[in-house]
Amino acid sequence: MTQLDNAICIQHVKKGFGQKSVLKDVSFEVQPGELVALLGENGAGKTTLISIVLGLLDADQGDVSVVGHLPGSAQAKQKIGVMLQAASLPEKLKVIEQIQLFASYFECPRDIDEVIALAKIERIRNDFISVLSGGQKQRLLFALSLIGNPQILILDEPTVGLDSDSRRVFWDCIEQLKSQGTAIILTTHYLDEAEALADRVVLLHDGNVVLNDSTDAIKAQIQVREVRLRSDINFSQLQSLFPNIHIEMQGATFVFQTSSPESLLRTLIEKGVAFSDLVVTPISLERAVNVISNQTTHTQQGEAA
Amino acid sequence: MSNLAMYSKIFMMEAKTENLKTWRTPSYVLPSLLFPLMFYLFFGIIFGHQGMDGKMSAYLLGTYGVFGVMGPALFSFGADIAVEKDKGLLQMKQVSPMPVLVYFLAKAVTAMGFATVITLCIFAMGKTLGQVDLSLGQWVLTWCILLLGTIPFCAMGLCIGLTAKAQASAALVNVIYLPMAFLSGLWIPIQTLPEIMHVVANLMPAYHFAQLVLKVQAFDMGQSVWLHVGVLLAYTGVFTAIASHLFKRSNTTRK
Repeated sequence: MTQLDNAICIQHVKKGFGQKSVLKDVSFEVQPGELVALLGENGAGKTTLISIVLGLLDADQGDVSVVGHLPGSAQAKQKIGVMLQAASLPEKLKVIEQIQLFASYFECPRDIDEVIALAKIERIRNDFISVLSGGQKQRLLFALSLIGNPQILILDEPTVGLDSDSRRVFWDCIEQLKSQGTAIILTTHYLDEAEALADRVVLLHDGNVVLNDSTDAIKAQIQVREVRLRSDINFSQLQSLFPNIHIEMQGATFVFQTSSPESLLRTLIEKGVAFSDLVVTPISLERAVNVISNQTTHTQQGEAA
Repeated sequence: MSNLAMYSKIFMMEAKTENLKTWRTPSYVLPSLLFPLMFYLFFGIIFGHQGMDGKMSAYLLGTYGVFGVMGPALFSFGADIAVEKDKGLLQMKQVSPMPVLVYFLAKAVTAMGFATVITLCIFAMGKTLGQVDLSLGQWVLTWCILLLGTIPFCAMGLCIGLTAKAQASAALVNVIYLPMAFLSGLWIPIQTLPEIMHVVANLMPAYHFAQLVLKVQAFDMGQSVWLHVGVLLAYTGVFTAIASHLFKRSNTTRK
């Protein structure tokens, strides 16, 4: 696949600030109609990478192309919609005035009424920004990211402050944009959101890509299963039975993480432990990402030692 | 659509938006309008007949005009941009296809528009209450100089806006604006201040701005027009270069 086929192509990008190396060697692509969740702890390099893709920062080494154009070029800016995490809008303007202003920046903007409908802000279109709730402001920022009819959408923590209904509405809208061929990079700390929306997850850890795969493949890569059951046995007795297995209590339910659910259940039966409400599931994306992050940290610590 | 047409469209929208923001903020509009008018009313009109052979009203019309138009230039760039930078709005604009220069230009034009309102109010007060008698050419020339003279202060405000934190920016602008106004002889005629103050005043852009305005009525200190224009151009160049550097640095140091 060529750089032109990819919506975004990032190749061997390195970036440092002074002595600190923030991105060590980052490569991945995003294709049209694909949503890539960019994950990582605070300080992993997500914001730096997004800034490079947007042309706010130059990479020290490596190449980045945005629909075949240089990041930050006029052509690239016409094709990218951005929803930044910390942005706040002038309170003395009305919603419609802010949208009209941003529409004027683009050669071929999307119809304003269509954007307003997409972002579900019809009822507040003539309101001043000063009276909007946090969630309404988020939806307005989302509308602004769509107004240029972008081929690429960069969403930085887009659902922070949204209630669950608003998040669902937002997710539906994202699915619609994906189906229209929009390439999307999503950074989020809500891994359920990444799991629901992402075709692929790129996990940054200490400036490196430690994971770049589909959500299903990532979960399959981690052979751990989650076993949930109820029992009258107390927590410490269970821990002594399974000293090497991670166990949590969630209300009256015990939650085990194990790569061998069969042997766990066999042991329980052999020891005569009565249980009920048994559920065995693959672990969530969040657990999988945590496991991989921890494995990476341990490997790095081992190498350093 | 050609680039020129595109930029014109963006400029018109930005200027309209800036004006809406400005005029919908009475906490900014009222003091910016009333302070120079009030000062001029007290010192130029009510007590104006006591000095300079009755020409104080005409003299202070120029200097309070300068004082009045410097404010919007410094505040609309200094305070506004600091807030927009800290709130992430400036970054949103940077990643959009809007050329940042067009945005700053729209801000400058808005500041000039506001300055025109202040200028016209002071002119009206001077003409009606202060019996300031200027020819049409003098009124127009004074107005033109007052408008163009805001440019170095827009550049100075831009430096402040890109440097200061939002909460500190208004205070910082005042710390620069008010002493500079005094030291440049905008409140009290420079001729009445000690000699050492003349040396200090010559270092201030506001002094050279005021001297250009006063030259229209031959109230200036007799220095060359080109000296004043040169100093103001130099200040504009230096502040623009610093602002450009600060703008680039704000990106390269972001993590």
